[in-house]
Amino acid sequence: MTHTISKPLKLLAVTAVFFLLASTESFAHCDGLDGPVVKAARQALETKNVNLVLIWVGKNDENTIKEAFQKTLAVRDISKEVQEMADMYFFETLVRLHRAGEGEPYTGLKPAGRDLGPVIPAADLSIEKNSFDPINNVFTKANLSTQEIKKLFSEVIETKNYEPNNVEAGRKYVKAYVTFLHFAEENYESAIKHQEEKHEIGVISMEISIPRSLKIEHEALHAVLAKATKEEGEISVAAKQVAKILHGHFVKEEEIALPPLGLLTDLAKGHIIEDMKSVLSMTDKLKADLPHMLEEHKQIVQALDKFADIATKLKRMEYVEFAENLKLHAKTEEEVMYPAAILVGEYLKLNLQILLRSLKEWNMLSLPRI
Amino acid sequence: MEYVEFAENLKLHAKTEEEVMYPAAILVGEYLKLKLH
Repeated sequence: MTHTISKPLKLLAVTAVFFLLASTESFAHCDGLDGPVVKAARQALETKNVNLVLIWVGKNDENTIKEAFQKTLAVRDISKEVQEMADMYFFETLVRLHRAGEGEPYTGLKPAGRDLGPVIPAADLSIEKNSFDPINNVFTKANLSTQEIKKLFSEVIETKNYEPNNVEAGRKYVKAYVTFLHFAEENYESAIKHQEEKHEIGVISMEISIPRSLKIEHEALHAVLAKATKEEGEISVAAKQVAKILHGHFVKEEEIALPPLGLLTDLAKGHIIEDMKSVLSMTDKLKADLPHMLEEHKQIVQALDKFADIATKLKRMEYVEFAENLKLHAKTEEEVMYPAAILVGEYLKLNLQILLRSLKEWNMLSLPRI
Repeated sequence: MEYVEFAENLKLHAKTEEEVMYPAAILVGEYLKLKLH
């Protein structure tokens, strides 16, 4: 193989997607006074139709909401001041129970007009206009794949036009809406955060990106797991347990194990440039951490087995299939991806040594240690 | 819809082969040549 200096590789932005499934950080805008939950509450009070808000809480909380609704209606005609207080009590009760249903803490109602960043307004606009364009533009600008978000958007649109008094249909819409919003926000925030971190520490002079197909595969797995965490009951608990173990593992993978694979296409064509050596810190770290990463796979598989058992019991075959797919994915990483990433490092070391030796002979360069 | 999903999965599989598997297989050969040389 000849050592050709290729045309400069494109400096693609690394947009590794860290899906913060186990995070307790508050996402989305469901606790805002101008958010969709309070908006529904205002409409329910005006029309005296509690069904409009029952869709935002689980079946178990229906009675609490109905009771709070009746109490609010009973006093809000007394005076404007009483109405304001009663309405606020109802908003707080509703948002608190909605967030509890999502496994999020209630941290008070947030003022209207907050800066929500670009992704949430774009997501809401997409739903309002029945158009994928607004959210597509935000994702594309952030170099994020749009495959999964497009699927989630379609689910929102499919469930959007439910009959207002059909609470179950409304809940399906809310579930699709929340999943769509969370996925959009988490992916966008993680990509931006990751880009900032890379910029701050200046680790890499040449950005090395994860192969797009692998990113899409990861996102697809993330999307199903995210959906499972939003289910009710024991399946959600088991999914969150998988997510908890998976999170740190994915972060590490997308930092050191997958980016080296982005060089494979160029290396196989014989294109090698000195800047590629920035990948060696990743591949060396991967080699050193490999036993630990394989141990994490075992823990993930154990959590997946429990998750699959519950899914089987509940006849949720899509989640059984997901568990199998994720286990197979882990196996492929062990058998192919991790060794291939390490091979990228070893191959580069050999080639760069030869290349630098030649340069030394021709130009009297001192031979740096690699 | 299961066949639509199948088609998407197969396309992604082909893409993974192009981006990772084929170049990795070539690299295995090139690496061995260097080591055995």
